[in-house]
Parts: sequence; structure tokens; C-alpha cells
Amino acid sequence: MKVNSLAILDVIRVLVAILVALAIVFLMIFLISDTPLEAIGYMLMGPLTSLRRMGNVVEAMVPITFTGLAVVMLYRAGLFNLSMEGAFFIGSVAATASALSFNLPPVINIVVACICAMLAGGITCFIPGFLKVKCKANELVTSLMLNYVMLFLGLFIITQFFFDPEMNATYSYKFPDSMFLPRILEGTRINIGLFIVIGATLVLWFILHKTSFGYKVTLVGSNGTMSRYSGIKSGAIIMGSQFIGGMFAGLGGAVELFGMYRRFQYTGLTRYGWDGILIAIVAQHKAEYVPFAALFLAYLRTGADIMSRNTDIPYEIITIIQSVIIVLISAKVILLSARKKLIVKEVKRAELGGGV
Amino acid sequence: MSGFGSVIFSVDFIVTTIRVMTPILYAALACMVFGKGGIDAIATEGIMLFAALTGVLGSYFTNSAVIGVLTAAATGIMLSYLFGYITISLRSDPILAGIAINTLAAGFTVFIVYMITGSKGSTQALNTPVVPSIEIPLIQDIPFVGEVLSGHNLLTYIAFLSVLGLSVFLYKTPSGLRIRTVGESIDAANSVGINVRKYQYMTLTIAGIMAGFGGAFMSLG
Repeated sequence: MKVNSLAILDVIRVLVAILVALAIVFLMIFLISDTPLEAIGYMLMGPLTSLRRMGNVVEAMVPITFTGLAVVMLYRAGLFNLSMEGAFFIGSVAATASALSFNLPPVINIVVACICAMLAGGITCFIPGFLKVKCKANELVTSLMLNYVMLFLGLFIITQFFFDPEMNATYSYKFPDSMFLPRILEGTRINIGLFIVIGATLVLWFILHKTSFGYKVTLVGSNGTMSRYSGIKSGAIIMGSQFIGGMFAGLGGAVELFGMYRRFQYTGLTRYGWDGILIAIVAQHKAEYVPFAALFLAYLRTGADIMSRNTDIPYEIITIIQSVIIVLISAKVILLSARKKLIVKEVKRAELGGGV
Repeated sequence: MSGFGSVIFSVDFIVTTIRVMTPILYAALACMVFGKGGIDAIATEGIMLFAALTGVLGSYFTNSAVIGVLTAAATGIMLSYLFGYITISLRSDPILAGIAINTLAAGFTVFIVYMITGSKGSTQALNTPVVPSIEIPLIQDIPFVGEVLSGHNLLTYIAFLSVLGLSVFLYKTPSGLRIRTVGESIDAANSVGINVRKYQYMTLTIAGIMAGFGGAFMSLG
């Protein structure tokens, strides 16, 4: 019972944060726009008006779900590792390299490319974890800097080895036709990446809830000292968790690349990693909620995009929603007294019932 | 190699280096002050971006570069306070709060630019006065040294003076000592009767000004 009502309180926190953020943005739209009701209508209902737009929501959801899963895993061990941004990028670079270098039969080539991407992403996120455990280097600093290392390393690899001189931009050669993830719905770009992302969510949920490794990671993250006293090799657990987290981000890079693009054409970091942080917070760091949080963000984005094309409100208003949500959910003070009262009440009830 | 050497030791190269260095120096000073005051400095990026924008706007609407710089510094302080309020009073995680402010800055500045100029790219359409360059008397007449040291932007000189000023302030004054004490251990500072909140906000003010100047240099320098 105790867990349940606390969980409900957390859900209320998230909902309050989302509603407040939306209210602020609607207020701004009313102040700025000439046609405020139309703008809000486009933003809230726009994505539902056509199949293609609904497709856009799902397409936008796939990469940020992957980074959201990565963040859930990375932060489970208590490290603020921000290198999922670089892991996502280097994952798509590794997938490109694998797709263009190896001449493999269909299906196997996609699998190999995804494995390469996962390894590249895993190694990327492993580095800050390794430095944290072995050298006590602040993972925040190393991972932020590592993103730039990965960005320029990736761009170097692409321009040095896979650069297509026939294109006017720094695009890679076109992938073989067998590399593209098949589309599953006519009229949209939704592809089997959607199933991969659902599978990845289940895998992460399984790792965190049904394996001893997942339990140890959670323990290390919530109380490092205690886990050390109970004989858990916390260093190895931390490094392992960072590696696995990076694998999700790297896989996301590969799936996004093969699902949506014909060539490698990123020229900068994608910012999907930062979206992953927002998603992980909204999902309360639980793997099973990540796709829903990602769907929410993707829906808002698509709605804001439709709004900006049809009215005088620019798309960037969405960042206000994002930042207000992050602040309100992470603010410990909000609903703190309600939370304390609830805990006291639950404990008293447990005592009376003789349950504990 | 001789070509390389002549590039590195040319006046243009050194002058350009100093110009490029200025906003980084301001950012580093802001982060340094945040760090000494025990506040995570992730939000510096967003603060500078906002300050760069309001610097241009202040300069455009009042037609005065000085007011533009002051607007930027005021913006820096306001955002720094906002960050402080979120992390200190609302007890939000500083890293997440920093990410929130950076996200907000990345989008909201574009939003404001679009609202005012109608284009998302830049404020090129606004014709703004810029911060003047300063020729130092006497020194500017010395060959090479004069060309390297003189003729920089006013904000560049302020940056170098800030390095000096901040090192004296942090290490030679009581306020500086208290800021560093609060940064090292809030509990220890509390136990000897230091008003922790006051010195945290002093930290935020100074760091905000530095970030604001840095932003102003990017847009008005």
C-alpha cells in the first residue's frame, strides 16, 4: 500500500508539472498570437488530423525512446553520465561504417551494423564510468567533453572514409538497399524500428527487474556505501551499467539512421540525448514508462511543428514546456509536505496493522 | 615550418586569438566563481546565450552600446538568480536545472528573435551600436607590442581586469573567504555564523555579471 500511494503522488507531481508547463505556454500564446485558439488547437489536436502526422509522432518517438532508455540505465547506478548524446551519434557513425564496409547478405548486415553501433555506444558511455571508478574523475565533466570528442571523431571517420564527393554536403555514400528498415504502414515512415524500440524497452525492464545485475545496479545507485559493505563489486557494476546504457543509445543511432535516412547526414550532435534526460525524468526513471513519456514529447513536438507552420507562433515555444517540466519535476520542495504526511500516515497504518 | 612560425607570431594571429579568447575567458570566470561558491555551473551556457540576445536588444532599443552591455549583465544576474532559486530554494537537482535553463535558452532566444525580427537566424536586421575598441595611449606607439596590446574591444580589457579583480576579491577580502567557505562546506559556514544564503546569492551575482559580459561580447563586441 505504501508504495502505491507514494507512486500515485509521483504521478500527480508529473501531471501537475505538465499542466503548469502547458498553462504557461498557452498564456504566452494568448499574449502573443493573433489567433490564439487556432494555435492551441493546432498544437493539441494537430497530430491527430492525418495519418501522416500520426506517423510523424511515432517517427519522432523512436530515437528519443532509445536515449530515454539509455538515460534510465545510466542514472540507475547514480552517475550523471551525459555521454548518451555522443553515444547516439557515434552509434550511427559505427552503423554507417559497418553498412558501407562489410558486404553481408540482407538482414545479417543490419544485425551486424546494429551490433557495431551498440558496441560503439557502449564504449562511449563506458569511458566516463571507467574514469569515475578508476580515477575518481567527475563523470559530468568527462562525459560532456566526450560528446565533442565523439562528434568530431565521427565526422572525421565519415569525411575521411565514407564521404561521397558527388554530394554537396558532408554526406556519406548511399547505403545498400537491403540496409533500410522496412516500412510497416503505408503513407507514413513508421518502420520496424518501432518494434525494435519496444523490444529494447522490454529488455531493459527485464534487466532492471528480473536479473541480479539490475538489482545490484539499483542498490549501488541508491546507496553506494551499503552495497560496498554487502560485498557488491560496485566499480564493476557501475562500469557495466554505463556500458549497457550506452548500448541502448548506440542502437538508437543505428535504428534512426537505417529507418529514416539513406545516407549518413548529421553534421552536429542530434540533441536526442538531452531529450532522453527529459523523458527519463517524466518516466520517473522507470523503463516501462519511457515509451509513453517519449510519445508525449514526440506528440508535443509534432503539434508545435504543425502550429508553427499554420500560425504566427514559432516552434521553439516547445522548449519552454520542456524546461518548466524538468524544473517542476526535479524540484524536491513541491508536494514535499504532502509526501512527508503520506509517509507518516503509511508508517502509522503499518504499525497499527502489525504488518512490520 | 617557417610558414607556420610566421603565422603564429604574426600580429593578426595574436590579436585574433585574444579576441576569440574573450568570451571563453568570461565563461571560465563565471564557472570559476560558481565553482568557488559551491554552485554547479552547467547553466553558464544558457545564461550567456540569453545575455547575448538581451545585449543586442538593449543596445537596439536605446541606441547605446553601454546600456546594451548593462542589459546583458542584468540578464546574467537575473538568470543566475533564477538558477539559484531553482537549485537552492526549490532544491532541484543543479544538473537538471542547468539542463533546463540551457534548453530554455537554446529555444527561447530563437523564439524572441523570431518575434522581433521575423527571422530565426540572427539579429542582423537590427542595426545596433557596438562596444568601441580602445587605443591605449603611449603603448599603442610601441611597435609589435602596441599592435598586440592596444586596439582591443573594451570588454576584452574588462575581462583581463576581472581576472585580477576576482583573484583579489576571492583570496584577499573577507567576502571572498566566506564565499569560498560556503563553497567548500555549507554546514561549516553555517556553524561559524556565516549567512549562507547571502553569500550564495553574492556568488550568483558575480558569476551572472561575468556570464552576462561574455554574452554581450559575443553579440556586441
